[in-house]
Amino acid sequence: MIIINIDVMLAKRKMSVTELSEKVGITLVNMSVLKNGRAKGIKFSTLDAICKALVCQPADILEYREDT
Amino acid sequence: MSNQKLSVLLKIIIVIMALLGVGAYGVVLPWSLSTFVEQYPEFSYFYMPWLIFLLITALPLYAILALGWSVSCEMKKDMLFTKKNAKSLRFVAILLGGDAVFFFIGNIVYGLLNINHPGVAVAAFFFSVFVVLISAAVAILASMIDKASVIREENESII
Repeated sequence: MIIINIDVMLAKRKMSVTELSEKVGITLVNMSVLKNGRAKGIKFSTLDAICKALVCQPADILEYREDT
Repeated sequence: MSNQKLSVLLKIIIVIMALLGVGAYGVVLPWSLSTFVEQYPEFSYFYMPWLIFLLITALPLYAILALGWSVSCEMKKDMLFTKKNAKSLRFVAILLGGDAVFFFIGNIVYGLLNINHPGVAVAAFFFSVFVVLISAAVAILASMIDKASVIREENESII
């Protein structure tokens, strides 16, 4: 399964979810859905904006883990 | 055409249909039946059974108009492809098909009771088949809207 590590990156960059959602240009609700792993997918444009805002690589945000 | 304009257009059509229905079922139908009975007094016993039967067939049509109104309200909110609308259209298809079958069976029953003309029963059959075909088209549309609503929901959950 794919794990979203936005909260880890937010902690590293000392950034709030609200600030990130504003920088990325999506609503706080959608950012929350994404952060909590409830989204069915992520657009490349959103991933691009998140990576730009958090100054990181997609691999820092997305992680693959074996289903237990 | 924008959704708002389409919604207004649909609402205007619904209001016109409702008013035409009131005119047809409330004025034209009783008037034509009474004219028929006046011309052929020997068939005076036709009046009430036919009036009641045809008024009953009007009830599902008004339920359909109410469902159409609900769909047009959803359309205004740009929420056309939803499970609710698919359900409404499925119900419209059932009401339309049911009404057509009821109309045809009623004509057959009235024929057996000797208060119908065979020619009218045959015409009712073709009319009922036509309405059932429309009902099938509405059912297909409902199925398509249902599938579109699933795609829309999936699309909305991709951020």
